[in-house]
Formats: sequence, C-alpha cells, structure tokens
Amino acid sequence: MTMKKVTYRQAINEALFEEMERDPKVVLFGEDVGTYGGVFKVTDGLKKKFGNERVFDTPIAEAALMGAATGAAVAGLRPVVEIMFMDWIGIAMDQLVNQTSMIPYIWEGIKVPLVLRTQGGSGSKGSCQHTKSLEAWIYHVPGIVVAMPSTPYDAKGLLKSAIRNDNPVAFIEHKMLYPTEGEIPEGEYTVPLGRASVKREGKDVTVVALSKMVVESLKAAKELEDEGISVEVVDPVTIKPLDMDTIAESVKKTNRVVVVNEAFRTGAVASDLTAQIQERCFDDLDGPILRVTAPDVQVPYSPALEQFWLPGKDKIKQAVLECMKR
Amino acid sequence: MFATSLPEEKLIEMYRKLWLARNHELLAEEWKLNGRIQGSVHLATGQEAVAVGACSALEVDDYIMGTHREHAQMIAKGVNIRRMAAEMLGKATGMNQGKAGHMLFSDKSVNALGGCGIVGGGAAVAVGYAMAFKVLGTRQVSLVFFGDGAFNTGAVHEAINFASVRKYPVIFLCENNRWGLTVMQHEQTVVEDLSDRARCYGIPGVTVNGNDVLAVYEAVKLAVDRAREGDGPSVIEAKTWRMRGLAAGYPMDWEPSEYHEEGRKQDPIRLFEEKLIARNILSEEMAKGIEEETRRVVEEAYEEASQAPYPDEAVFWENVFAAPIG
Ligand SMILES: Cc1ncc(C[n+]2csc(CCOP(=O)(O)OP(=O)(O)O)c2C)c(N)n1
Repeated sequence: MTMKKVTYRQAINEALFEEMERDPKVVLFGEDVGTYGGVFKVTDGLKKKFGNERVFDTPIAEAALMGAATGAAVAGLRPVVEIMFMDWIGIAMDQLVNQTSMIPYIWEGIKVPLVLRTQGGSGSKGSCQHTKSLEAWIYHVPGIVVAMPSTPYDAKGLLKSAIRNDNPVAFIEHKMLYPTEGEIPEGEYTVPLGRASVKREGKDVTVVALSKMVVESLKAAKELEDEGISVEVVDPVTIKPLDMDTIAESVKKTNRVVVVNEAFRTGAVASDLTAQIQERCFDDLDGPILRVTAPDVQVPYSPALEQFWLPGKDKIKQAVLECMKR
Repeated sequence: MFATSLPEEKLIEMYRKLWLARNHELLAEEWKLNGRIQGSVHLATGQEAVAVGACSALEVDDYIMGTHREHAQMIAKGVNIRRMAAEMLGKATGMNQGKAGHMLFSDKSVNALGGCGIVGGGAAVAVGYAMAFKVLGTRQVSLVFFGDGAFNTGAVHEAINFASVRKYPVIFLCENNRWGLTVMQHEQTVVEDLSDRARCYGIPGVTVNGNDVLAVYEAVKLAVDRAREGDGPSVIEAKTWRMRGLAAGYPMDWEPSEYHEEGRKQDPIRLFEEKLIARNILSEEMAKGIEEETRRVVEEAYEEASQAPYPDEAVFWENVFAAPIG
C-alpha cells in the first residue's frame, strides 16, 4: 500500500470529504465550520465543494445544534455536528443526554446516526474555558459511542466508520494533535470502532493512554527503554464500547498497568478504566493500577501554572517507575 | 443630547480612556504577534466607544460582566492597567495572579467581574448580581456586555426574560460588531436591529451608534437611571466596528472590504476628537499629548509586567476550594 504523510487535521478533513462524497445524506454544520473552514481549519474547503445546504455555519446555539443534529438524524440525514470546544459541551448536554442517547433505546426501530465532533485538551494557554477534557460526561451516558483517536491514521479511518455507523458517536479530537503528522494509506481505508490498538509492544508495564496522552506515553516509553524498562502502550482508540480483550491480553503479559488520561482526576475515564481492568485482570496483576491524570484543579492560564496541571511524559515515567517498585 | 452637557473634565477623561483602550489593544497585538503574550488574544480595537460610553454611565459600585473581548470593557471600568498587563502575561503580580489570562480576568476593587470566554455565558451571572442588589436594597446596577453572536444564544434570552419578569436592575448591552468569529450577523439572524428583541420581553430596547461614545453614554445612562429607580432592565444595542480579525494575528484578507471601508469612516476616537475640538474642549496638541501619554502608560505597564515574577506552585494549589470545609 502506498502511504503518505498527513497531519491529524488533514486526516480528519479527508475523512469528511470522502464520506460527504460517498453519501449525499451526510451534512456538516457548526459554528465557523463553513466559509472559514473551522477555527482549527479542520473543515476547510468542504463548504466550497458541497455547498451551503450540506455544509453551513450556524448561529451560536449549541443546544439547538445538538438537538437539530438529532432530529435530522432521525429524519434520514447523517449529520456531523461540531461543538467547537468541549468546554461548552454543557450547553449541548441536555439534548445529548435526554434526546440523542435516549431515542434509539425507547423508540424501537428509530436510529440516530450522527457524529458529534468536538475537541478538548490543554497546552494552548487557553485558560479555564478553552482547555477542558470532559469526555467522562459523555462516556457516562448509555448509548453513545465515544472515540478519541491519537494518530492521523486512526482519526481518518475511525471518523469514516463513525459517519457510517448508525449509532450516535462522539468523536473527540485534541487541539494539540492537529499539527502532528503520521502516515496514512493513499487510498480508501477505515478503522473499526470499538477496537484498541497496541501502539508499542513491551513486556514490563502496560500503559493504557487516551488521545494526546498516547503520544506522551510513547515518548516516556522510549526514554524508559534506555533505563531497561520495556513499556507496552495500548490506545483504546474507542473508549466506549471498550476493547477490553486487547487490554487484558497486554496485562496478562506485563502484570502491571498505568492508565493515563488528561482530565480532572475525580470521575475521569481513567478511573473507570482502572475499575474495569481490575475486575477483569485481578489475577494477572502484580500491584495496584496507577493513574496519571490532571489534578482536581481548574486549568490556569499562566504558562508557569499550566505546567502543574498538565500530565505528560515526565509524570508518566514517574508512574511507570513507581509501578515497577510495587 | 444631554451627554454633550457633561463637564469638560469628564469628556476629556472619556477621550483619554478611549486612547488608553486603543493603545492597549495595539500593544497587546504587537506583543501577541512577537510571542510575548500566549493564547488567543481577542482585540476590541475599534470598539472602544461602546465600553467607554457604557462604563462612564456607571458608578464604581456598579458591576460589569464582560466578554472574551474584554480588555476595553475592563479598562473603561477602571481596572489597574499595570496589574492587567501582568495578568495578560500570566505573572504573579497580575490581578488574578496569572490564573485568569486575557479572556477571564476580573478586578473586584472596581467591580469589573469579569471576562467570560463562554459566549452568552455572562448574561445570567449579571442577572444574579442584579438580584443581589435588589434583594439587598443597595441601588447598585449591573451591566453585561455581550456580542451580536452571543445574542443568538439561549442563555442570553433566558437571562433577559428572567430579569424582566423580576424587574432586576441590569443593563443588557449588545456590542454589535456584526461578526461572530468568522460569521456575519446576517448569517446568524434575520433581525437587523437587535434591540427590537427587547419588545418580546416587554422592556425598553434602543439601538445606538456604538462608535459615538456620547450616544452610548446617553443610552446607558437612561437605562441605569431606570434600573436604579426600580423600573427593571433594558436592552441596548451599540453597533460598532471590529477593526481587526477575530483575534490577534488571524487573517483579515478574506473579510468583506466594504465592512472595513465603512468602519474606517467611523473610528470612534476620531469621531469624538472632532467633536471635542469643534467645541474647543480639546486642542490638537492636547489630543496628541493624550495619545502619547496613554501609550507610555501602557508600554510601561507591559515592560514592568515582563520583569515581574511568574506565580509559583503554591498559587496553583490555592483556592481549589476557596472556603474552609466542615
Ligand atoms: C458558547 C460558546 N460558543 C462558541 C464559542 C466560540 N466563540 C468565541 S467568540 C465567538 C463569536 C462571538 O461573537 P459575538 O458574540 O458577536 O462577539 P465578538 O467576538 O464579535 O466580540 C465564538 C463563536 C464560545 N466561546 N462559547
């Protein structure tokens, strides 16, 4: 297969182009996604190509966006709706929790095939309202598939699957990943939802990491290799439903686990993954599962303070070393 | 026009504040572009008369709630420019110790409370300020700034209706620069004069030229007097001009040139200057002096701030819970 190098941003853009080309029922809307092509330029060129009926800018109205995407999905479209920053997902949350997710369960025969695209994550000096990772809120609600790709390859293939899937899918990007590069095939491919991906093989410790924390974990693993520690990095890619088999297989081999999630610590997805792993793998574990998360503190603006908030390579290394001692 | 009969010192003070805000924005833009300020900096260049006109009609005791484009609003309310500059740089000497940054800072000493990066998110908070004033019988008022884009959010409409039914002393000031981030007003609403919406809530609504600082002052003063007398809230729309892109450094080449041609004819500082000179309140020499003096004040504030220390880790852990528990 011929491969090419693209950014995470381009990969998502390509997936949108290809799926809109393939299926006229796919529509895309949100704030600033049309003429300008998105504040992160992820939807660049789509309005020009597919026209204002299928790709359009909306008023600032997150609740209405989420509700309208839901209605449109019920009535036969396959909407891709963007909530620009995850920090204000709260405004859309009622629609998502009390309409989108509920309808397919109680209204037999009705499906809600939509994709909610949003992005979270810190590192941009965005202060408290442009930095949060609130995937746990969505993850908590039954009936919504939640995906958090970490590479251009996964992002493109997974978004194509998400658009084709008949369930509501929350597709959560990370703002600091947009410029990162990776290889993808020249031609058509998809990545299945609900399948984890081993990003690096190792035998001493399993690091289960989400989104940008996969990149940080790989950096940590590389440095730890020099210290003689072999780290396996598992990226769930889709966090719900979770591919527990792949994680359990890794744990069987390493007997030690660190879970890494850039989010407030209490009630983070990491907490739940930890619970799921110990339930399934208790007999394979040589010690407690450790978590690397952000603290239960708002994300401050100052570059000097933001660093205390951010989880990353060094904190992951520390946790792996700690884990090896237990 | 009763505003024209304001004391000369007050008029000169308003003129000076326009320059202080303008020079702040020009310098902040420069510092952002050369990397000395981090994060997205939303400039109010060209919109200064809305902020200065409005805050000149308030007392120090009155509260304001600003937007993500808050610098001019906060300067107009009288925040300390040195502490503001330090906050913009994330320094320990900043008004919020570097925790808030350029979208969210606040200064309790002048009741500038505060910036808000969630579009429309400040309106209900300002209603709450006004609720407290009414219940406590203090005769204070609150004023919330929000954009034309924000005026399409449910949160703003809920807040206005709530305040009108409870007759709370709050002024809803829509700073209409005819842009969301990249989407113009007519693509977000079919309503031309946004103050028309006040009628739906049974309260006064007026549209003024937001580049005319005295017109803004008059409209706000009438609304403030009404609110203080217990007659409830008002809506004011001030139409203005966003001289720069959506934030510092964003491309403007794609923006409609008529928008800027029209805007340039309406520079709020020039408009006011011409009036003051015609009435012999200001000479060209004084005008030049004020322009230069305010530029120096801003430059000195930033130079001083750049020398100030960053906050340390202790600051990071402070106020996670700001009050004792148990
Ligand atoms: C709830 C919410 N939705 C979207 C955004 C992203 N955003 C930031 S500024 C902005 C445009 C706001 O337009 P307007 O209210 O007219 O204010 P202006 O930027 O023109 O001052 C948008 C959409 C946000 N910050 N909050």
